[in-house]
Amino acid sequence: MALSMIESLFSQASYTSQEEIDRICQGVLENLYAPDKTNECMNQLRQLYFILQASHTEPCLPRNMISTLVNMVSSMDHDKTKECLLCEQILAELLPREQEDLGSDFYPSSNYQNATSSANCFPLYLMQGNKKFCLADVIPHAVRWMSSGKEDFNVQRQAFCFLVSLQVLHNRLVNEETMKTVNSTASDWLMNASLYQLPNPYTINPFKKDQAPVVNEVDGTPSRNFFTVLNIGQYYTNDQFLNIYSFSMLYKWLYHSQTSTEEALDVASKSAHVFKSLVDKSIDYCFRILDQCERKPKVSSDIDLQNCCLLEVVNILDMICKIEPGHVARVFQEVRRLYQRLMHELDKPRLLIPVLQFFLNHGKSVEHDPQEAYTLFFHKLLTQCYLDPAFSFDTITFIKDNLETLCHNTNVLSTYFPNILKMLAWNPRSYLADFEEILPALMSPNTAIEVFHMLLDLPCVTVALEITERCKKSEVQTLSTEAEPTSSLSAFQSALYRPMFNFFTRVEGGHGDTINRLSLFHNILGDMNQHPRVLVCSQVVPVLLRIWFDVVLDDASSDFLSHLIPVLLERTAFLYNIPGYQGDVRKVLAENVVHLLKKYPEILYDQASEIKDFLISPRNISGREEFFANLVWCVGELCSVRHDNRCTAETITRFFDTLEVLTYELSGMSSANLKEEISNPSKIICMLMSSISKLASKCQDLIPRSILLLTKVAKQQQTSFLDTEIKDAVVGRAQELINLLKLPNFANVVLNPDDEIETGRWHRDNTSLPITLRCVQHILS
Amino acid sequence: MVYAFVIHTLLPGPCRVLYHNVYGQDATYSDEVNDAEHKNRRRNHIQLIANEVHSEYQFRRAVQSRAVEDDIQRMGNDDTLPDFEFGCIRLPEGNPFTVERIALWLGAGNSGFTLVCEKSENRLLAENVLKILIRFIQEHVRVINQPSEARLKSDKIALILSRFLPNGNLLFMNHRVVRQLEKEVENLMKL
Repeated sequence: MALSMIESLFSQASYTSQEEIDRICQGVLENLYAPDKTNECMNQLRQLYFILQASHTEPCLPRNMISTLVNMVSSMDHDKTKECLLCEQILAELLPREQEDLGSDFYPSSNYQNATSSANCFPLYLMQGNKKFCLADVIPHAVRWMSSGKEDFNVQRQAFCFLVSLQVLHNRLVNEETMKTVNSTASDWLMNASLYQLPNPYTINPFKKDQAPVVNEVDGTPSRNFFTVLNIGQYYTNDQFLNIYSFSMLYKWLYHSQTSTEEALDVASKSAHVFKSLVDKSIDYCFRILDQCERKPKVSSDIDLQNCCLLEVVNILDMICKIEPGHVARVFQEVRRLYQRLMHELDKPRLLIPVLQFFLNHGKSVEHDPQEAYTLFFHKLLTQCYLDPAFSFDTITFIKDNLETLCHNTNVLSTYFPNILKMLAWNPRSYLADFEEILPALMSPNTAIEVFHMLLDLPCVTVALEITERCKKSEVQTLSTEAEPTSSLSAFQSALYRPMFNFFTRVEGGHGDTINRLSLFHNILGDMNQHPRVLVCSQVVPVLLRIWFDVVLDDASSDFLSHLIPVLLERTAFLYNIPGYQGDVRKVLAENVVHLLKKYPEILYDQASEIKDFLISPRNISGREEFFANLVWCVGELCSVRHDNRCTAETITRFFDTLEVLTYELSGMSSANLKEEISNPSKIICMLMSSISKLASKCQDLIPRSILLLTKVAKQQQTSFLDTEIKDAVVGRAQELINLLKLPNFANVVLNPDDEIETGRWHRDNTSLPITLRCVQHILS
Repeated sequence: MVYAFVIHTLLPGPCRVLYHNVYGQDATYSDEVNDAEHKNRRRNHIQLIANEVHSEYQFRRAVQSRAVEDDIQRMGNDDTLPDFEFGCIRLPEGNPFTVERIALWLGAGNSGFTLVCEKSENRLLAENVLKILIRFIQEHVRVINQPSEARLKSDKIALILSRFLPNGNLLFMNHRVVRQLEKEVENLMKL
């Protein structure tokens, strides 16, 4: 009901005609100052705003309408606040546009400078942007109004907000002089707000005491120090509000100013001189906040505020130490004290992240070793809090921001990668892009294989986490040792399988793998394979696997890759059963086994026995045709003395033996049997025939055997029950190879072309085979 | 300063932006881009972010099997706010903005509330302020029960934003500051 109403409102608004809009504008202009038509006017303004937001092309508004809107905003009439604010919204929607449309009063000009009305337009200047350098022209006015002390609160506030926003959005526009002025004014506001409460502005009390009471601390005791955002009063004065604004915007101002001066000056000492006054005052303010955060608030919502303040303060102090490293020693002590406190109350895990960042940035200069803090964070806290979306987001942001340092200077990532990957397993939708970046850093020569296993089993990690969480709520402690469990839940309560759950939700890496019983475990978790979290998780795995292989193929040693082969052979069989998942993963494995062997063909020799064991059994084909076929291709193509001089005739013969046996076996199987196991047997047979011929052409003693084999296969296939089309293809292929092998020298050139064939030179060079053949053909015909 | 504040629908059907307020330009304005295109792009960015939140919310609902109706029903019974889903979405550099920004959202029932923050923003504070905004928007506009009201009473939302998120700035407001601003809003609302 409510939603269908929205749809109809939208379609109504987007089909409003220009006449209708003109009529509304006319109505607004007529009713705006008519005292008895306030409601009507408000409705027209609402309607106009609605149409503007819903329409795809901007409707044309009369020029006097726009200048009226500008006037409304700049006047910000108290009795018409709602109307004025709505006008501001409408204008914000219409900006940026040609300056002529906005009227001459829009920008402050040198001869007519009404600070109040210009200040109300500051938000609009930001929307209009630096068109024809108009923002740059406004800056001097803003600086003057903010710092002169002559303007009223609203003007100062607007000017300050404007300058900070400018720094955030267009930080090249604010120059050093401006920064200095803002710095000194803001530091004044930070330190010198009045300590007294504002009397209730809504009542007139004739018996009012001369002096209002001082503001309180959050725990109710009267404040004895300067005013901060954590002081409680009945009402606040304007200068106290300026104090609140200054602190609220301090970090953003420092952060964006610092990056801009860094670019401009390149010297820390110079930026220190620009920020001199502000830096000292900010430290005092931050230290006071740290003190105030140790008080216990009377109102619970102020506890949240204290936490926000702590986060902000650590960030500010971090920035200050970057600007002026001389303060590190003093600040470090305070941050460390905060860390000690947070360590004992672990209910504020997010606050530890900026503290960790601070240690990481400045620990070196005071010879502090952050290892203990890392362990606390990545071991204990992450284990407890990976479910919390805010915590996991902040943690991932922290890891990403410090990827280089964490990866090269610490072992945090390679130690705690199982814990870190849990965040992905739990939120596969949200963090894929982040983990594409993080994954390479989790891999070290020692952990890469374990990371590989964990990626392949990531959907199981998701299941394990999901089950663990469910069981946390229903607290079943005793483990049964009886019957074989039938579901994921009962497996979790079984003494036999609980260790598997613990393994998949482990905190640290380096505990090897549990390939035994893995397929049993996969089967038991089968009831969870349609859970949305698990499904999405299974979709991200192939993406990350590709990245894993890219890294490994780029950086890993041939030794490492050699050891990877048995793992690949093994894992193609053991994958969690989710529709589509096994196929996707096997495809990635199949592609990459080729890349891997092409890059280091000598691995074929090193791992010959593993590979032969794999290839000898037709059982290994089922479900893994592509991987199997690619491996067969690699053997035929890459097993050559050209790639590895250890590759003797004997090596080739052994591979040949394996393939020969397999081919006879496959070809001999009745086609019904074959189809049950292998979806596309003729492809495998063709691949085998090609590889056998390639091997034979490299070791000519084998040619008679292979001709015999090919002849037999052709005969057997002829009588098989395959489709005629496929049959013809297989038989034809066998015949071609036989003909080729009858001319051994040709066979060698055709079946084992030089690597240069890829460069294309062969098609141009006079001595190349195709050209020679063409010549011969030419002469003969 | 946050880049934008957005109210949009969540499930079911396509995501509709009910209200948005943008506080600045994405990148330094260049005269080459024409104004209409610029504004169009700005609107599309907002829609894109709302869609992201929408699909994230959909996923959360799916994994928890929590129904929208439960939220609405709870709202009907008394004035307590439902439990909100909370999330952050990273908007990487170049997509859709020229700098990295972060969309921080709270959602319940059919309504989502999103703050598009700079990376330098204090997200703990942003979450806090967003909760305050939702509290008052719900009080004055009853947006969670009737999302279309956000479309129709935009002036009221504008007023609430002008005090609790002045020019898009997140303020450290203790409970008395909130109270003082609340009174100011109440008085202006009556005018």
